[in-house]
Amino acid sequence: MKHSLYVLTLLFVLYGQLPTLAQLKDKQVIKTDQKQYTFDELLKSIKKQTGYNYTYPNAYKLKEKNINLNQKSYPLDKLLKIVTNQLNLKYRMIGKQIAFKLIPQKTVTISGYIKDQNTGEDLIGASCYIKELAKGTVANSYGFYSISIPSGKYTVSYSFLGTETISKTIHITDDQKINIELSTKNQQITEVVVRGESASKNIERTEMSVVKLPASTVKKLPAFMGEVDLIKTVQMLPGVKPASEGSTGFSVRGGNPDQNLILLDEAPVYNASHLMGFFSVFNNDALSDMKLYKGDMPAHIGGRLSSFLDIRMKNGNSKKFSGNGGIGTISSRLTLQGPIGKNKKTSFIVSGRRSYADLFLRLSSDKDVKSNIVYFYDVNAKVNHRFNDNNRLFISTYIGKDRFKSKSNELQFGNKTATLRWNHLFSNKLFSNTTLLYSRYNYELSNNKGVDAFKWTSSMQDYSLKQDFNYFLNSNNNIKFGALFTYHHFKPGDANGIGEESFITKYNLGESNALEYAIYASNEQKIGNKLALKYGIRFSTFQNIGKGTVYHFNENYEATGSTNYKSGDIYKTHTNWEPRLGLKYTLTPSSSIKMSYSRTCQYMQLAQNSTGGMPLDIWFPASPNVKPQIANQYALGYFRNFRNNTIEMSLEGYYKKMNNTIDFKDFAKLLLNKELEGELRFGKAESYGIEFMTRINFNRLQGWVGYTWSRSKRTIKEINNGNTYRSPYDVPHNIKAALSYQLTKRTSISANFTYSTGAPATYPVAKSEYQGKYIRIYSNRNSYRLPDNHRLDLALTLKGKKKPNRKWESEWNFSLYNAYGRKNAWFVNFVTDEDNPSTMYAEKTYLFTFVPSITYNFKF
Amino acid sequence: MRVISILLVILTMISCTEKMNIDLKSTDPILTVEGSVTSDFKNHKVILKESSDVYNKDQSNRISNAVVTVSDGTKIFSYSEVQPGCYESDLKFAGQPGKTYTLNINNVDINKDGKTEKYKASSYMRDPYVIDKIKLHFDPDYEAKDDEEGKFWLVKLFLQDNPKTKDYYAFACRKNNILVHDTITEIIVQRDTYFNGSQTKGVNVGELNQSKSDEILKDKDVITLETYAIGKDYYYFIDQFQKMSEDRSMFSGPPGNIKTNISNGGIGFFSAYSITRTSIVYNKK
Repeated sequence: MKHSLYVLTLLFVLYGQLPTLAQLKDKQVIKTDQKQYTFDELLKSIKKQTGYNYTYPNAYKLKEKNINLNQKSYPLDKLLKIVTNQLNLKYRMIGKQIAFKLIPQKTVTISGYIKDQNTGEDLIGASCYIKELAKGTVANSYGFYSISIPSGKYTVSYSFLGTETISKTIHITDDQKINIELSTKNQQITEVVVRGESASKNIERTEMSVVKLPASTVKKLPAFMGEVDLIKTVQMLPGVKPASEGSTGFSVRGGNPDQNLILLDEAPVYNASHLMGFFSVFNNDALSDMKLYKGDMPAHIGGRLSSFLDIRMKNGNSKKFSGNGGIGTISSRLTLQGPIGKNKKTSFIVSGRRSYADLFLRLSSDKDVKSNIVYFYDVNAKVNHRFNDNNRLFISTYIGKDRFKSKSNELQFGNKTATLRWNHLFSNKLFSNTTLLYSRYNYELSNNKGVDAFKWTSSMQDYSLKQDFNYFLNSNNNIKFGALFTYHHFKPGDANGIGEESFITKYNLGESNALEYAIYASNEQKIGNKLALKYGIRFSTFQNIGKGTVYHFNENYEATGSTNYKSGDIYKTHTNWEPRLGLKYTLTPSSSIKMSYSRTCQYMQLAQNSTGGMPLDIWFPASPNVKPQIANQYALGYFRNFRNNTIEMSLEGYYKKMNNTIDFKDFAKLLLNKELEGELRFGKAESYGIEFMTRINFNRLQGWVGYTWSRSKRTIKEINNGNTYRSPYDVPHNIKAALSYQLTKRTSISANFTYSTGAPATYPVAKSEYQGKYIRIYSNRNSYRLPDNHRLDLALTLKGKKKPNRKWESEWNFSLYNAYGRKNAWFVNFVTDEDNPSTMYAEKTYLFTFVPSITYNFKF
Repeated sequence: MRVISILLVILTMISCTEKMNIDLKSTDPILTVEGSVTSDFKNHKVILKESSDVYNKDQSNRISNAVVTVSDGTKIFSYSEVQPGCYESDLKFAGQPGKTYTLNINNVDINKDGKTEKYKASSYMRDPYVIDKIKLHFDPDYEAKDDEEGKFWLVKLFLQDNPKTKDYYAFACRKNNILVHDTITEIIVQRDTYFNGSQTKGVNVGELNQSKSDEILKDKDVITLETYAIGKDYYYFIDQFQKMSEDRSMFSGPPGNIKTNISNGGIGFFSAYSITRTSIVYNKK
């Protein structure tokens, strides 16, 4: 027993000694006097110094591969580790033999979130780029990125416009989660920003006809009455035109304002205007990012012909509690945001804005004016919670309202949206977003006087469920697929007469309902280093569902009867395949060409006959009488970057053909009309044009300059005697410039300039007396034009001195809208001359000339 | 539409106007017809004029030497020119509800190409409306149809609308038998879309502006409401005429040419309608 115990102890000691002996062998010091060896040279040197033989696979020109060293000597084991690391090998020592083997390359995925270091906000579109592979990816709308690559050692760099670039050398052998925070703080304005290779650069992206603007860019430009307005900035982009002077409605590539899909945190906004369209409903303080698709619509988007404006609200600062706000000429704003709880997994943002024009009205001596009420307000609120890296929940809402009240009239209108989203990672390659949303637009109008005394309400509501998947298959394929379901509910008008004097007793347009479904799949595929394809398909369905009434019309568009459908009856189904294709070919490292085709369908439209639009305009669905509108758009573009990608130039041509285009008959009655569909006329439209844009992203100077030549025409049998006529948005020449320049650390200036051919107009060409008044005889539709429109806006921002130990920062913004006082015609009237009632003269109505404004902004 | 006026309040506060020169192309003249046959027993009138350029400062040219007749399907009434461009039926007659009146105009060469043109228009005369009663009401602070504000005497109407028919009404007032609403823009038109089959309970159909000299009411003045039973097309003609005469705004749709029932490219309207007259005496007490 004693003996065996001894043996055991000895064995134990020996066993313990064995690795020590082996280590001793490995710790032999190898002298390395060169900084760089080839693999073969180094092994020879090791052999010389230790007598160890070696074997290695004869592949990948391993022999000639360089090994970089920075010490004069290394222990053998350390040296071998460096070699294997640098060349992606593994080794074994068998006696006096070192055997090298290749590590079989496996595909690994790096994924994670890219955020702003200061606020914790997701950096949408930030790029992750792998230098050795010359491949990269961009973060999606939730800041998530994923790229699958062969295992190995790489230099991975993360960048975003206006932030530092972080580069990391990482040996990736397994799937890895890398969450990155990029800082904006270290940006010195004197330092030259080097925008290195990046997957997000204009020429490398497969998409075309797209412009992305961070809220910070929008903020820098001159603002009308000091109200920083995203839509007004969008209108400064080539290919986009304001629907009319001062209006927030806009036309993209000759389309109608209702052909733009505007999503705020994925919820559709049906009327984006405040105060008769002079301001948009988007409070810039609450927004993080905006992206406008003028064509080349991604497959996950549908339902509108012309454009898609993707607006994202901030998530709220997850690092620290902060606030910002402003006091302006029209309104005041306040935003509060911060983390909730100790672990900072939850953050919130609440942003509010209210106008106060009515406060000035109270100063008026006129009793009637004094009692007028005019105001609007907005509230944006959002909470997001991160359960863990794989699950995130967002709840966001927008509520806005306008109210006008005069002695005898009152009008209220507003949007409400609510979105609940759940981000889930099924794996580091499969990202899922589930959205539940609600959107409502309604108005209420009343008049308490005379024959028209009535109260009238109208509303529309959407309930949607959306499931989107993003599958990052590998570094060459990015697959997206998903489905959407929406229930639309329309109550276009319910008017009730008030009092005995009213003609109206009760007039209810009833209600209508529709179901909209869509499924889609798309892939962005890189083939080699130069070619990338984007292909997708969307299948959409729109169904009219009872309860509802359908009117029947004869060939003269007169109602001949109607059919009532019970609740739940599906009485019309429209379906459409919508293919989307795109191609990018890199010509040189700084230039590429792109092509795209997209087919889009629109099932809902706005009964809007004026270019300005008004809050009373109602949306109406496709139906047995109204076919869905369809557009086919083809685009071709040349993209070229200069000066290290700080200048991005693009030249795009497009042709868009639209079918089932809707216009309205002369003197159409679009409000409170059960037989609205009888006022519609159907035909074709086409638009085409060339857009040229140069975007500058220097350190001090930023912005863009653009020129557009475009045409837009309609042909509708019953309008203009069936002859082709200009669409109201046919504006051939258009020059735009929006530039900001940082003068000093605390001072910046900016300017907007726009020139466009006058909008089409229909003028009287003759008159004829009838009972002492004149019948006007009009020209062909839109055969004249308003005078050319141009304007310059200027702004100056002065930042207050930042005091140490004080969180409060402030700035003054001075802006001057229409700086040289151009009297741009808003519309033209032909007015009967009071001195001689048998003649008329032309009179233009113009809006703002020289509108100065001061805004005080602060943050803490 | 009046509801829009509220939206325009603000806009007028911030907008300015300025005269401007716009070159307009000249067009060929067009025949304008203004004519009616009513249920009144009288010499009915047809007036013919030609259109002119927008900036023309003179009154419209009258069209003389036309051959004008009106037929009721059985009888033909011939018209004679009593003043330049103004034609009157040679005989007095009263239009009869249920008949269609057709106007024929010959021997007109409006485009001066040496060839004469023919124009035609038809209109069906509807049964007169039955008015229960009217009342007068004073509103010191009224907003009128034409956006004028102030003191108004209003004529309030009581009638039963026929639920079976689509009805089109036009209203004008006489003061002491003189028509005060004598131009097409002063007439109030209404269709029964919003009150079909209802009993109106004092709706305002006559607006007497107390700041207009011919409309001021004095004691014992007799106010007569004329209710015209007009057809759908004439309703739209008046409605569109009135809309066209309003100033345009950012809410206006594209302007278009108004309805007419004159053939061969003519404009204007020939209408047949019945008239119901209801009177009330204004007692200052």
